[in-house]
Amino acid sequence: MPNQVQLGVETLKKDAAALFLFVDSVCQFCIDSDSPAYLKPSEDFFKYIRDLGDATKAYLNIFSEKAPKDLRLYQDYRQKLETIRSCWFEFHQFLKPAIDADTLSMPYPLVEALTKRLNQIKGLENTTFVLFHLDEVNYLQVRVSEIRRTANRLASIIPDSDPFPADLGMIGIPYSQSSALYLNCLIAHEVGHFVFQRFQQKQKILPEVERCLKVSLASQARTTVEMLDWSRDRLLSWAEELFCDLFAIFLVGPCYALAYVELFGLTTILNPDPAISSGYSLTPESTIFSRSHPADLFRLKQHVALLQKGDGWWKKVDTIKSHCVDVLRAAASVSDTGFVFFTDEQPHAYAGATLQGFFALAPIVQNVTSDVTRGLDSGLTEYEKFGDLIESHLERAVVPSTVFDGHYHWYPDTVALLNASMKFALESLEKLMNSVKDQKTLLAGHRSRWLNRVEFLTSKALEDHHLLVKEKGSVSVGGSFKRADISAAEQAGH
Amino acid sequence: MSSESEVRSRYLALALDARKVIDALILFVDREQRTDDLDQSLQEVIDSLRVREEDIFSPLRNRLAFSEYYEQVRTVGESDRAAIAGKLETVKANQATLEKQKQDAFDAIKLLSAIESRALYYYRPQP
Repeated sequence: MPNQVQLGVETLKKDAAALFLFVDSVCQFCIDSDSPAYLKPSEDFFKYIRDLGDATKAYLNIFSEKAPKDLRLYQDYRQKLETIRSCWFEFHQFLKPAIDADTLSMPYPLVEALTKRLNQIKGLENTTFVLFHLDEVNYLQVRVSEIRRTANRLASIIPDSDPFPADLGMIGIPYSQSSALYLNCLIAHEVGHFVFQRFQQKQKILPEVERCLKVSLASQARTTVEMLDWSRDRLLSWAEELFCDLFAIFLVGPCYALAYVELFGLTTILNPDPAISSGYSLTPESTIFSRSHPADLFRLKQHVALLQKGDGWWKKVDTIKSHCVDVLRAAASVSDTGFVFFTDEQPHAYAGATLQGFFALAPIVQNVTSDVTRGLDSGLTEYEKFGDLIESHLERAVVPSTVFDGHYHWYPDTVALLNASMKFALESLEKLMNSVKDQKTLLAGHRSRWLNRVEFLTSKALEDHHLLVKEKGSVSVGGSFKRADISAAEQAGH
Repeated sequence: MSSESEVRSRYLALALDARKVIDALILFVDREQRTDDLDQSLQEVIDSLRVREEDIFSPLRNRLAFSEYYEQVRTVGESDRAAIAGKLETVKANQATLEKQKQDAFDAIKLLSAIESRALYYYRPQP
């Protein structure tokens, strides 16, 4: 071709410059100022991206100089720019959502409370989380594993760049839900994804996946290596989701399961038709496994199994008068044969046999989750001690940071606050509304206003807790924090 | 969670794993330099490519993106796997003549570049 530009250092220089500009434009959004305010994990994340950007740009500066002299390798070398560019496409999609999630736009009291609870687990003492906003109404963590995977691999091909901070997790929440509390309990599931990856639970579960599949697929004729790959991926994916659900219950208690019922509208399965003695009729969608997730009701069934197996949470949940709890009871009664997995990727019988393998795996996932959370107090004792007192505060629209048991003032912890508050919202919100003039419990608008109020009061208590337990003179008694004995101090002063 | 973005991210991981080895092989072919981690990089890829022929359930399958997920396995065909592994073995063994090693490294670069390119194609957002 007569007019074709000769390829070499000059063309590489131009292509590298174009990419340099793109990386630079992404990095300039990693603001380094006091306004808006961010928590330290967000600042650490922005700094990491800035540093990675600097390393990338420094490398691009010398990219053309390092080009191979053998022109047969030009194209292979040039292609590296496209791989680097793709990595920055990947980072690009996370930055804006993280920038939007400043302290005024995220549920930071809850996140801090969950983080402090998580830090009680051995090996996670230094873990922190960056929050970012999602357009979709969902909670996501796994994309953080994506950014970590991408960043670490990019660091391996860019000189002088660091791997992604190991203790930094990232969680996406719906941008509109910064002030919600109950729905944000689903963040605990996303924390579970971080833990699953941090502790390399996949490697731990993999041998069990193999064992379960060997049994469940034994009768399948002509199973290829590719089909086995596919089955293994399905079980690992379902197992991770189940792990995260169970981990969330260990972290925040049964309010996670109740929040799940609400977010996914699962009260739809309840059916008052007198002809239906069970009180529910399964919607097909509630029993279908997707390629990546177990069916909703299977997940709830596992939640209930864990709560029943533990130290008594289920007895507490079972007394809550709410149709959300009816959904949990219904889920627990669904037999495994009621769940299905439709796919056009494999023959129907083969997909069914893969699903059978997961049914055998599920109890093992419960055990794996228990192992990880060993040493983490379930929070039930504190809930039993202070649950009623917390509810009585909420009934009077008072922040339940400090409750009085007739003898001492106590500072209830995260799990007690969340679960007592959710119980109150589910079965006693009317008590609060009835004490306020002109409030109609049947009006969704009125109800929603007071629900929001209860969430706010509880969030404030979560925030206060971490300050109060550090108060001079406050002491831990049997795992609960007691306020300093002010009257004794005053008497001593006189 | 195997969302669309998760699957795309897996392809990007595959491209990056391929690139790491390509970088080392380009240095070897062009400047006859063996980087410090060349042997280890080659061995990791060889292991992850070879394991498919041995034990489908082997934990080695989880080391690199070449064997990490169903989608990635699909990207690297059986014949490519064997071809790349064989050529990388030659380079790693460091027993053949330099010319033979360089030729095999060159061939491996072409195969790995094709994989990287395909993975980037699957990764790339479509306007």
